[in-house]
Formats: sequence, structure tokens, C-alpha cells
Amino acid sequence: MDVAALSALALPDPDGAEHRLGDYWRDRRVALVFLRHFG
Amino acid sequence: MCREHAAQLRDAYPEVQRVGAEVVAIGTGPSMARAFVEDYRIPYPVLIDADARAARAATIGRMSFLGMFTPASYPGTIRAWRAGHRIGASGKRVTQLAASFVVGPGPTLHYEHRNKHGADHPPLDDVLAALRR
Repeated sequence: MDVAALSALALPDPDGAEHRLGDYWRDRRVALVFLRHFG
Repeated sequence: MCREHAAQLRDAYPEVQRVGAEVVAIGTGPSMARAFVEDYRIPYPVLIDADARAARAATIGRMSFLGMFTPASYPGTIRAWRAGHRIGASGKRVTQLAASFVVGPGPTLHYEHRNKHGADHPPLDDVLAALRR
């Protein structure tokens, strides 16, 4: 688990807006859940 | 089953916010993401990892096709179905396993649970405990 590499990634939400992952946990704890798929 | 765990986190979201934490879910493909958010009334951010960049950084495991039907998953699948969590159409990368982590503040990992099969997920209390510390 490379948290630093993960922090640098930006992923889109369902509306297409990009979010940098590290911004979520810059100053708080985050439960980060990888789902198998949405189906 | 990740739908069951997603719903657990939805129901616990007020407590997550009360302790100043957040939940972020990452799925595998865009085609069903919006329906998932709407059907399950997901209040926390949901992001799409279409090209598996995040999955690779988090070294998320995969199972074989036959591994999706391992008997170890039967009790959890039955429990989830009885609770109303039904799998719809298969999404992208169906052999990618799910996993949960608690990170932050900053690039610090506090907790991890790597699901062993499709019906596995971490105990909600363990995730909440890691968020409260």
C-alpha cells in the first residue's frame, strides 16, 4: 500500500469532476473503501 | 459483499462525521457509478478508478474467476441477500477484490482489511474504531 502514490492520484466522481485523493486525508482520517464493482 | 459494507458506512456516516472523519469509496468503472450512488443513497464521495491506477497503488488483489464462487463466500452472500443487497449487472474488473483502509491525516496508514473473497468485508466496528483514534 503506497499511500504517498495514492495521495497524488486524482480520480473522477460520477459527474466527471476530478478529486485528488490526498486532499481527502490531508487533515483528517478517512475510511478509504475499494469496492469490487458497482453492479 | 461491498454493497452491504457500503450501506453500513452510509448508515454510520453521521457518526463518521461527528468524529471529524470522512468516507471515500472507489469503484472500478463509470457505467454504473451513478445508479449505485442513487440506489443506495450514498452520502459520501464516490470516485471511479477506471484504469486501476488507484488499485495498483493500493496493491489491491484479484481472484480467479472460479474464486468468485468459493464456498467461503456462501454465508456472507446469503446474509447480504437476506438483507436485500442484490448484485445487479456485473461491473468492470469483477475479479478485483475489495479492501478497506483508514488513512490520514497525511500519508499515514492506520488500518487495512483486504477482502479474501467477494462476500468478505471488515467489521464496521473495526473501521469506526480506527477512525476515532
